Amino acid sequence: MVQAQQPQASPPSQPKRRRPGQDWKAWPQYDAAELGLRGYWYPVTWSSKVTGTPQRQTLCGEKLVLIRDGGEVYALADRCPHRGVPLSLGRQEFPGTLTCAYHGWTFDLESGKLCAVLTDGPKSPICGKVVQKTHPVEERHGIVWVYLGDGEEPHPLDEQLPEEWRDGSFVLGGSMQDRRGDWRYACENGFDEGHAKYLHRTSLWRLFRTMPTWNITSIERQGRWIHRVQKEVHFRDEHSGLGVWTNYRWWKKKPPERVFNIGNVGDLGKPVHPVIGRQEFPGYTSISVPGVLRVVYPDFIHYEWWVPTEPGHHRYVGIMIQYREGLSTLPFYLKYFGGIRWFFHGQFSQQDEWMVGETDAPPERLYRPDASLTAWRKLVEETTTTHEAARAAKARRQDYDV
Amino acid sequence: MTSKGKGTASKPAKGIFAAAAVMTAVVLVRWLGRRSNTQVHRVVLPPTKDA
Ligand code: FES
Ligand SMILES: [Fe+2]
Repeated sequence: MVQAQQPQASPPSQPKRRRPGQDWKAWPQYDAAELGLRGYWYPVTWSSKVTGTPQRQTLCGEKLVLIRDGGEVYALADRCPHRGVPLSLGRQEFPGTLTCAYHGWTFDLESGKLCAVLTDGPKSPICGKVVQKTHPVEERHGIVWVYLGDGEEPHPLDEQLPEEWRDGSFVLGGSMQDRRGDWRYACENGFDEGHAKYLHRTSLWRLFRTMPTWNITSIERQGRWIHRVQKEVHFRDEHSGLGVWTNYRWWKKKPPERVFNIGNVGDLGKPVHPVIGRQEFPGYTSISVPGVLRVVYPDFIHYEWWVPTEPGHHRYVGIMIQYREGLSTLPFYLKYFGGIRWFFHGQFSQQDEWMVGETDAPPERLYRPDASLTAWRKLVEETTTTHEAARAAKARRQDYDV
Repeated sequence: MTSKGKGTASKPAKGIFAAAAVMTAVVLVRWLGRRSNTQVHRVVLPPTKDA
């Protein structure tokens, strides 16, 4: 491979060989996707947060303005084509439109067409000649989803939501947080096999549960997802000449005796909810494009979306669901606000946030459990059909820096 | 509210206490939720044929 030579070049005796792990060239789509994968729906905010007052959101490096009109949410490019002022600074003068704060250019929300220019009279000749970019929006389960593509017809949102969401009524609790770190580091951390056993050993969420020390796993594909399937789980190891290392403590529940593929500490004798049981998940952790993780416990399922925002930043969307209906959903409100939000979508997840913010790769030197990372990168390569998408994202990143 | 040193409150007083506690909990949860961008929703699917 060709590399720009530094002034103090090494002796020209042998051609330099690239060491594995020096870069991500083995995954070119992934390598180029600093601002995310295009052609997908992304959770952007809670439905209740979008009102008739325009608000700015950044998705995959693109600045968007979101506004609610007649009950529907619309998303337009935020930059006014006139002089580049954010449309999100504007207001609504007429139903179905948004007016820029500066000179009163007024855009139709549905089509993006410039339909009036308030400072150039009702016969302004520029009307109809300018079209602002719009993005498809759907509201589902109290969340606003925006399709980030390049003008193509979007696939149905349902094709991208977890399949089990169509298999029963549930109650959903979640938290959205803007975080430091490339969205790819967040995905890799989420599916990373090794880290939980060490990084999260001190989390309050696992205070009474014993985390394993190491596992033997394989990666299995099921539909759009790849799963980490545990073949062996270890809880106590003798490191010769060093001593014993274990996560077991006297106050923690004894680890399960058999290999498990539910929850990161096993089911601990809890019955598996029938809806969860019938999904036949091969492993408890799975990941899919464009960056969503699923972690399955006996009675609830946790998801994380890592939504690319700006370079080096992402939005964490942590969701916990439990299959319950009617009044039996009430304890979940207590569980979520009383514990899960602070211990799981809080301190536990902040340990991840800390590491994702500090990750700096490539270069990298991977170890055996990182087969999970490379499998995820491979999944992105296989499902990203064209280099164009990634290249477009790269070009936009340059726009962004200007 | 005092219970006249007996440790027992009258029925309406109990009701007021309970209502106040519930109201406080609701306000607190809503405030926490808004501050931390956190929400809980129910997702009710139409009944399936195999149910
Ligand atoms: S900049 Fe928006 S109307 Fe002039
Ligand atoms: Fe983690």
